[in-house]
Amino acid sequence: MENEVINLFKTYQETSEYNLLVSFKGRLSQEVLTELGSMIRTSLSTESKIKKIFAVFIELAQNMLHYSAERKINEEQKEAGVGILIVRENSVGYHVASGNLVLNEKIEFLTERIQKINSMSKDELKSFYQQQLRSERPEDSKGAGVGLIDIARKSDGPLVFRFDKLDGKLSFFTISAFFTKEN
Amino acid sequence: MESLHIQQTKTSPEIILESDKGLAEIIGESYPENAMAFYKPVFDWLSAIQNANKQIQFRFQMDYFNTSSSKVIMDILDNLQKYHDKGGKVEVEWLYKEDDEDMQETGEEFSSDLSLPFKMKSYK
Repeated sequence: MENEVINLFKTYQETSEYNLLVSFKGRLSQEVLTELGSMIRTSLSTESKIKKIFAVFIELAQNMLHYSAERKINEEQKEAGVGILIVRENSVGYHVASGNLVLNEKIEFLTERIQKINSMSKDELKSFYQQQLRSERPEDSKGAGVGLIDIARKSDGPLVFRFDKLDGKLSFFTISAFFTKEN
Repeated sequence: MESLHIQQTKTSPEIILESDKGLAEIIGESYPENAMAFYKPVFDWLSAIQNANKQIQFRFQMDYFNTSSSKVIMDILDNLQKYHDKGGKVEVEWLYKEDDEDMQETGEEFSSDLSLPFKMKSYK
């Protein structure tokens, strides 16, 4: 195999355009997630919504760690999800997003779930969260099935998402949460 | 029944379980990789204390927890409510930083369905 020259400049230019505070692509682990969380806390230490932004980042990252359809085994022989996480700042606010592979059969469920959440007021989200928290754990969930509701409650405005189909089995799922700056 | 003191890590809280006093404390931040597994010792301790018919004082003093931990906290409160319903002596304290409205509101949400003694306290 020949040693290829990789054009990192192109990647660098593309990512620079977004003004990213944090970006990660690869196999997650609890350690990586913790470090990225620390980076957010450092770079947003003066921001009043820092606790909400941190919490939303952790939910998205742990979703990826547990549920990304692309998985790799780590040093400890544990499986972990692969994907992309970013935190972006612009003049009006912040943008926290994750992207990872999902099975096509999950698209319908995720779409309906997010659309339902987006249609709800803050009060409706609060009741929905409480109701879900008090019900039985979903079978394939490590949590309470309330991650997306929590993300919607903490962020400002609707969740934005898209699916890019790869093949008959897999799609790339991108989901974004937004925060407005207070002044 | 043994007392237990679990030190905090970057992603998990300090946990103090004192069997003599029937006192349990969870302090700090909670977003471990597997919340159910992490909190198992708390449920073991609760069932031992309850089997001995002791009184329980459960104190939460948390800065942040993720949704998986939130579900476990709900399970702990349900467990305490059941003990209370059977005549067990239970008191819950929910401590939140003075300026932390979110944590105050979270405590109010958790307690809204409970009939056991649930005290909210702010600290500086």
